[in-house]
Amino acid sequence: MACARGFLVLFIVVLASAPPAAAQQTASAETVIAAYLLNFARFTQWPSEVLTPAAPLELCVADDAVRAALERAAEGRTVDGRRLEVRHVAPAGPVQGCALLFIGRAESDSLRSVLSTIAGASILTVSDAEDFASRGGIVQLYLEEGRMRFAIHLGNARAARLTLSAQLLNLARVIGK
Amino acid sequence: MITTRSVRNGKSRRAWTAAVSVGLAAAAAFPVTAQERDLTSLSLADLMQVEIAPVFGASQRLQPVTEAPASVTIVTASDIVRFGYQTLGDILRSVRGFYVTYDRNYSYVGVRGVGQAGDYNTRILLLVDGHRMNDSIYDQAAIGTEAGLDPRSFERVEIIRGPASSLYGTSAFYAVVNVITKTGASLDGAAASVEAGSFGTEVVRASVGRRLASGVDFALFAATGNSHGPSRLHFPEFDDPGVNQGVAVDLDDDQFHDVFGRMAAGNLTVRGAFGTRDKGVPTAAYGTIFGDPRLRTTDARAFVDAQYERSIGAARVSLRSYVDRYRYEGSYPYAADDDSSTFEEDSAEGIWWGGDARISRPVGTRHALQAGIELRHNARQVQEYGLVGEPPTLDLHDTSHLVAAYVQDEFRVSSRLLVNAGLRYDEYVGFSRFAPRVGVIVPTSANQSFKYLYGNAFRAPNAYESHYFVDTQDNLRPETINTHELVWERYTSTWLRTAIAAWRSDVHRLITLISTPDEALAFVNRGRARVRGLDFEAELRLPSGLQAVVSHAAQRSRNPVTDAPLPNSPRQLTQARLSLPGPFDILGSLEVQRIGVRRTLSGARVAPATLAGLTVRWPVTSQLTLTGSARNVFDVDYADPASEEHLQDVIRQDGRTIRVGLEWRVAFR
Repeated sequence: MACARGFLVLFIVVLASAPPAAAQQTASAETVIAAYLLNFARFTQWPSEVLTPAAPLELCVADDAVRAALERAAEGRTVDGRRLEVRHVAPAGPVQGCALLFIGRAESDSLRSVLSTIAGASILTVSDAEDFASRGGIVQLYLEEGRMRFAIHLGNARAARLTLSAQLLNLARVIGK
Repeated sequence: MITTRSVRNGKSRRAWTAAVSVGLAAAAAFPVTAQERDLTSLSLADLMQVEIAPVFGASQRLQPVTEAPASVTIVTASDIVRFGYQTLGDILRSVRGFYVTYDRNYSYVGVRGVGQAGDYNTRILLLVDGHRMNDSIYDQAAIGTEAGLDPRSFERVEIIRGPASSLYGTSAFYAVVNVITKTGASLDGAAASVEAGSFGTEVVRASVGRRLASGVDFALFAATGNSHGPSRLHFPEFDDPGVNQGVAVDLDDDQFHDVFGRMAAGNLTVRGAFGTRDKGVPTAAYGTIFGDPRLRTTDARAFVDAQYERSIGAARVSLRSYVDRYRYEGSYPYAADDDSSTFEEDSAEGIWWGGDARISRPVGTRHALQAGIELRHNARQVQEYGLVGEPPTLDLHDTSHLVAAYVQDEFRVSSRLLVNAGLRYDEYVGFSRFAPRVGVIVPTSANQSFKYLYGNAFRAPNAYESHYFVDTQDNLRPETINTHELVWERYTSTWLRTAIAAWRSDVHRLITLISTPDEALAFVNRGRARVRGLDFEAELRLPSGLQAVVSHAAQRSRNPVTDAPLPNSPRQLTQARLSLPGPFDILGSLEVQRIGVRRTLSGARVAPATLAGLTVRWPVTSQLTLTGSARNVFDVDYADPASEEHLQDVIRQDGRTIRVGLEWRVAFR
């Protein structure tokens, strides 16, 4: 028992002297997606003729849970001095004025029609639906080892005349040049 | 039998106090930030490290835990590595409401107060990537070294409490354990490890995997290990000068080898596994001669599974086909009347193949429908018994098959109300069954939900129960269970998750082995059980890096006919885990489990036991990690109830054991 107690004391001493380490958190998928969308908005440049300097950034979301999480996350925040507006869109509904469009994997059936409608428009399209990038999407969200990661289709980004910062590209899995 | 009760209780109580104070001291050593840590203030790189907890198995779709029609626990690959889990049994020991009993041969899992030792885990369904692992002879869900599964190949394990026959059919009685394996993309490298520990234990593991530029993803895992086991085991029941005073010498050895591989190309994924375990049994089980090294069991399990999944329009379609093999061999030395011995052997072999097709599709804006069919053909179900080296005296060759169809709908009535209803129809040779399940889920927010769940599940008699003692027991009915459950789950900000569940289960027609009037053995549908319980869990993940989980389960189980409590059913079960980063990137993890009072088959009381395990990981370089772990740190003397096949009433478990290891990992990227 004395041996066990000594063992415990050593354990406590060793751990008590530790500096705080990197965060190891758990969160729901929607909260993480919302945080990602804010980051993507931060690291993307839209062509100047599409976004006037004073215009708010419209984040269009076709998924109830993610939209609710994004509304909470975007409250009071700005990107590049622009106000953020979170808008609900029906998956196949009108998406004019959207700078960013998120389509949830549950709506993957309407992907084809949505992407063909907005072909050529400068909208940053993000989704966690499978094969999103190969169907014309720009940012693909996927799960790896229980963590959400993202892949960027450069060709589709270029076709939408969007410039993605190097910080984003370094952390992304880059596909489709 | 066991050292004086007061000493054992004292040590257990001191162990518990010590463990709790370590936990509190460690928590106090870290400053807890007063305000909520907002995900949006994280850098992109840190955001990529946040863990998500989706569920795949509960209704076979990826969905947030708060919306799954069940009470779910997820154990991740990071948990497995942190706490040094060696087998699936180690993983299940840490899960709320679960406890594992070991008789120095097999490991038996108890769920929510029901866990008869010697019951070969026939009432939980074990899946690996959706592939059924329960064999076709005993329907056993193997969880120890006999499982042929290496936890280092697991991406995560989803433990889904409650009946799920509405999706899976037989065996999904008390719980479904779904093991999801790692893809090549998640391995992205090669790794190897060696470990050495108490009782001459040695384990070597290796893995390699990658997602190639062409999109082909492959992963391969192999593990081999052996242990001499304790060299002297004293069983007072056999205290006799003629049998070495009840001491079994060098009889608890264990050797296993397993291999698992998967390859995915396009929409096709092929998986294959092979595992074998050879065990020496020191307990003189089955009435064999004590101290005889010829009492041994061997289990071998293998399968190949091909799955094709794709989207067709709005629908998601999956087709799967598989072939499986299971083999059991047991050798038993029995005393003969004339002071000599007879050496007998028991063997079983099952070969089965099957396939299933599943389609899931949203219908309208509010419904998500799933439907599937399954067919399985048990091409070979052989059970043999006889003297070693002679033709078997019992030689059974059977075949059987089953066909099933199921449908499930998730109806999103409103953003605050989900109804999940499912029904499955199974047709076996001797009977057919409907198994329904209904869940009403009220997600009051994205982070909180209340659920009411009702499920009816069944367990079909297995080949052993149907044929072994009586040639054809067509009158054996399946066991049934009805469970009602209320669950509350909540994510509080990003660092705290809590869940409370209350349940009630009624089990009917339990298949029990009895002695018939003419002194023969037979299986009959006779047992009944009624279980009520409450469990609670809190999980903490602080910005400082501290992770902790605490859970407590309280339950009462009785046989309503005799009004006697069920054997091996602990009234209280407490589990706690704590993981803390230290200096030099050292990671220390402590796990404590307290199993409450249990009864043995004879009704004797088995005292509570508090068991603590400690694992330390030190990444010396970016490629090399040193590990050390200790089990039963406080050297508590405890025992598990024995089963029908033992003369002993309890089987004493090991004291403190230690293990050290070296891991090497190289990344391809």
